[in-house]
Amino acid sequence: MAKKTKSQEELERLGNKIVYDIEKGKNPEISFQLRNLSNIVFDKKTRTLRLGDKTGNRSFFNVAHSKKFLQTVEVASVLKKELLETGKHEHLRGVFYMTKRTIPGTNVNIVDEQVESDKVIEDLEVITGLSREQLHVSANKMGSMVGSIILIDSGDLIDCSKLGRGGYSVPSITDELEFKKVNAKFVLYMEKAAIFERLNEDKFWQKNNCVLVTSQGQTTRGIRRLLQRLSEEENLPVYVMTDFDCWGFYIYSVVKYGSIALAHASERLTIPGVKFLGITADDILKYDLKKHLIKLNEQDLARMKQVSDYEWFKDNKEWQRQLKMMKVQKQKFRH
Amino acid sequence: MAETIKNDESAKAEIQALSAKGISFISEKYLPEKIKNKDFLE
Repeated sequence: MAKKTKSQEELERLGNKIVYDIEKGKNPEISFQLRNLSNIVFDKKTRTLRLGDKTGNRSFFNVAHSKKFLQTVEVASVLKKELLETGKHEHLRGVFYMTKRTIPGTNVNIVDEQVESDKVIEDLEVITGLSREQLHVSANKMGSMVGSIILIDSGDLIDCSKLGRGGYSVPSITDELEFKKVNAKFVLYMEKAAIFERLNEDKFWQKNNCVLVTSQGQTTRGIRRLLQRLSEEENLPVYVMTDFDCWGFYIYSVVKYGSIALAHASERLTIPGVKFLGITADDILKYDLKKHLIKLNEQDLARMKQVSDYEWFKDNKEWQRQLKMMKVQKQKFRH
Repeated sequence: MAETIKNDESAKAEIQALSAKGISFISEKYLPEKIKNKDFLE
């Protein structure tokens, strides 16, 4: 039999601990770092969002925990037997169906909604120290890459400079990609696929020796990991390009500082050195785009308030200036 | 700054607005200038 992987060993350790508790006649429990808002901290040293020191327990003989405990054990068991032992990967949705069964003799399902199994998978990341990708669970892929980069994906050699208009369809799990040859000088990551297509048609990456990446709106884990790997392993500067609005600023914020929901995975996903290219309030003035400004709606305004209150934007004069320009457009954008 | 922000006093803009300057303005002028001048925010 093939040697056990680290992921298999970690899940086995979790199972053995529960069996040990049962054999000792103890209440089986799993303890791990809490993932709720009260335990999310902005780490000043790394300048990323991280989990704090608070830990919690999930035990079987506790009415408030028993269902979650059962879900955790069931999902862990499915991941180990169906995925890790076979070497196959499955989507979050597939894992949901694999764990959605009725407990015999009852009418209770182990999970009713996908959000439950999704959350347990994130919990298992914290419990085992393994990433979702290491647990062989994928999500919808949503992103493309073109440029002067040759890589190996599942044994296939892919030259991202020869992939036509669509480019390389970035998989959900990018940990296992092997960078074979990278000639680019920087990476340009953009929110909008339409801009990606414009730049690709103009062969921008060829003329400027770079790699272009897009992921349609929010940045997926796979794309974040890919950008981080290009930054760390290939020493490439990464620039983010979004709309001039709070949603765009937030996209940059997540790539650079991490997110609350995935604070436990910051180490593998954040890029502290990433820079925001635009568009900025200054670009709007410089290139005379004032007549193309769009009014903010209620959601924009609410979001703007939240974003300007983020610790990492609060102590940053440049970002506060951008947000202020967005807020008082009439005065500031007037020459 | 006033506590309540009126909608008509605030604004956002899309990257695509650059297309108003020409279809390839973004790839021929905007981006090369930004990158050459290292005009970034951190």
